[in-house]
Amino acid sequence: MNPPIESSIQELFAAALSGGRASPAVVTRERTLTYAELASIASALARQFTALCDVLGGPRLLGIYGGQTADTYAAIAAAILGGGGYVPLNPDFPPDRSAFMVADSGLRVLFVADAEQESFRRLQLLLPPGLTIIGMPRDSAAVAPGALPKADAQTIAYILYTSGSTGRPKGVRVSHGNVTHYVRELRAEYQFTSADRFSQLSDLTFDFSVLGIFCAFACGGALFPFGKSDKFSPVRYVRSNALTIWYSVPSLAVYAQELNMLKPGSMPSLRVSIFCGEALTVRTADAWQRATPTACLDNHYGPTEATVSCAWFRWNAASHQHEYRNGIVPIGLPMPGTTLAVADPQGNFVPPGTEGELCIGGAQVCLGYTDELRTRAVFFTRENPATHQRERWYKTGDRAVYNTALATYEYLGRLDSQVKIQGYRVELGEVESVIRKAYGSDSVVVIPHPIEGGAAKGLVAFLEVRPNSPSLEVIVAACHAQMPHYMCPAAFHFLNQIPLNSNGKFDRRELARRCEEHEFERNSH
Amino acid sequence: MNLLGDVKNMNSSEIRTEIIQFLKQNTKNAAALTAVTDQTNLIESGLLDSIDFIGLVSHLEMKFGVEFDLVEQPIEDFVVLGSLIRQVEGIQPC
Repeated sequence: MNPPIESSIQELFAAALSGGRASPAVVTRERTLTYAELASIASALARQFTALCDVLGGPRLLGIYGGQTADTYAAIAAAILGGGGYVPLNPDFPPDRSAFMVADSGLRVLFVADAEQESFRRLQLLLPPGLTIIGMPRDSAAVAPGALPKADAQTIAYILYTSGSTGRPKGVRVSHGNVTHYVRELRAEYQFTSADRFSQLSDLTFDFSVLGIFCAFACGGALFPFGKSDKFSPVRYVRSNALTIWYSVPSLAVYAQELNMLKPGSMPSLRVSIFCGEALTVRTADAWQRATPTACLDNHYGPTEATVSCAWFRWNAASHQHEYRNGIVPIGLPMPGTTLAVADPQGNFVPPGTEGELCIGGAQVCLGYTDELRTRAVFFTRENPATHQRERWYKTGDRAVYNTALATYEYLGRLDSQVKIQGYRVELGEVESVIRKAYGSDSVVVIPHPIEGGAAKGLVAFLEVRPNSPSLEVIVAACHAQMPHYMCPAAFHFLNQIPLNSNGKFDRRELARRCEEHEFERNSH
Repeated sequence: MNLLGDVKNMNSSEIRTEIIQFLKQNTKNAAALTAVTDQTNLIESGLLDSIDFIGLVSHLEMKFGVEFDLVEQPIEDFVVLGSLIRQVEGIQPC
C-alpha cells in the first residue's frame, strides 16, 4: 500500500504526535521527551500561540529563542501544530542581529526557552514594543482546549536568516508546501521509520536542522541534539547513541578524519549518511564510508531558498570508476519535483556541458525573502524546459555545469563573494561592511582563508593603515557584537597599502596567494 | 628514539606549560587565558574552536609521541586542562 500523500507538515506530524506514544522524540543529556510528552506540551503551547496571534494580529509566526534543548523542539512542533511557522533565534548570536530578525519578520509572539531566560535579558532591551513573550506552559492541561487552525501549502513554515551582501541578513521564507515536499522525498528515498535515530548537529538557525527535526517527527523517530562537547567527538556521539541517520556539513567529517577517528567500521549503527552545505572531497567521502560500511552515503546540494537540499549524488564503490573535478564529489541530479538548469549571463538556459549560473525550479523553491526587492532580484517565473509548465525559479549565484560524461551536475564555485564557513553562508560584503564602519575607512578587504579540500575554514581581514584609527580591540569587539562567531575574522592584518589589480580594485587573489605563502604574521586576538 | 616526536618523560608542570604556550599562540580569546585553571574547559571557555583543537591534539601527539583515542574515551578527558595533562602523562609513548 502506498503511504498517504500529506499536503502540510501538520499532516506529516499527525501519526507520530497522536496516540500517546511512549517512544522517545527528543533525547538530550538533560532530558528525554517522549512523543506523548511532546504532543502534550506542543498542543498546549500551540493553543497559547494561536490565541495570541488571533488577538495581536500579524503573521502566524512563533519566534523561538533557545538552544538545542527539548523545550525548543517542542516549541517548533507547537508553531507547526498551530498552523503557522517559526523564526529561530540563536542565543549565541549578537543581540543586535537577533533584534533585527524579530523586527524584520514581524514577530508578535516570542517563545523563550527555560535555559535561556538569563541571556534573553540582553536581547529584551532591544526588542520592539508589542511583542508578547511566552515560555513553557507549566500546566499543559490548564490551557483551554480548542481546535487549531490548518496551514496550507503557502503558509510560512519558517524564516531563516542568511548573510546578506548589503550588510543586513536576508530572511528566507519557506512554506509548509516546500517542507512537506522535501520530507516526502527524503522519506521515500531513505525509508525512515520509527526505529530511526537521527543526529541533530546544526543549530536551529541553519536550515540543515530542518532535515532531522521534520523527518524524525514525520516518521516517529528519535532526535539526538548535539551537546556542545559532542561536536568534538562525533564518532563517540554516533556510537553512544546508536544513531542510524547522520547528516552534517562535511567539515565535521574532515575534523573526525584529521583526528584519526574514522576507523574502519567504527560506526556500524549508521544506515544513512548525508552531507550538505559545502564541498565534500572524495578523500573524506572514502574515509567516512570505510567507517560506516553498511550505510549509504549521499552528497546533497541546495541553498536555503530551495528548502535545505534539492539535488543528490550517491557515493559508492562504483563512483571510483571516474575522475572528479578537483577531487570533489559532484552535486548529482535534482530530486523528484525539482528541475536544475544552467543559465548564461543573459539568463538564457544553456545546453548540457556549458558552464553558467545554476537555477533551480520546482516544488521546493521558497516563497522569497522578507524583503520584496531582494526577492525580485533572484526569483523569477519561467517555463520549465522539461515539462513546458511555467514555474517559479531561483538563481543560486552558484557556478555549475552538467557533466554529460558523468551524467551529473558539478559545482564550480560562486559568481559573487559569498563563501561558506562550516556550512554557513557568509557574504564577505557583510563582514567588510561591519569592519569598515568600526574602522572608519573603506580600505578593508576580507578573504576566506585557509581553504582546505575546497572549503573555507575561516576569514582573514586586511585593513589599510591610517592615522588615529580605532584599535584592533575596538574592531574585534564590533565584529563580535554584530555578527555570529563564524562570520568574525580569525586574523586582522594592517597593511600600508592593500594591493590593487589591473582594474584598480582590491586584489583579493594576490592577498590569498600571500596568505597561502604565510607572508602575513598572524595577529591573533 | 621515537620517530613521532620529541619523546620525554615530562612532568605535569612541563606539559601544562606546553599547552598554555600553544593556547597563547593560537587562541581567539586571549582574555580567557588569564583565568585558566586545571578545571577550565578549553572549548566552553572559548579558548579553542574545533580547528584549534585539531592543532592542539596534533601538537601534543607529535611533541610527546602519544596517540589519543578520541573515539572510546569521553571528550571531557581531552578538553578540560587538568584531564588533558593527565592524558598526556598517563599514556605510554607509542
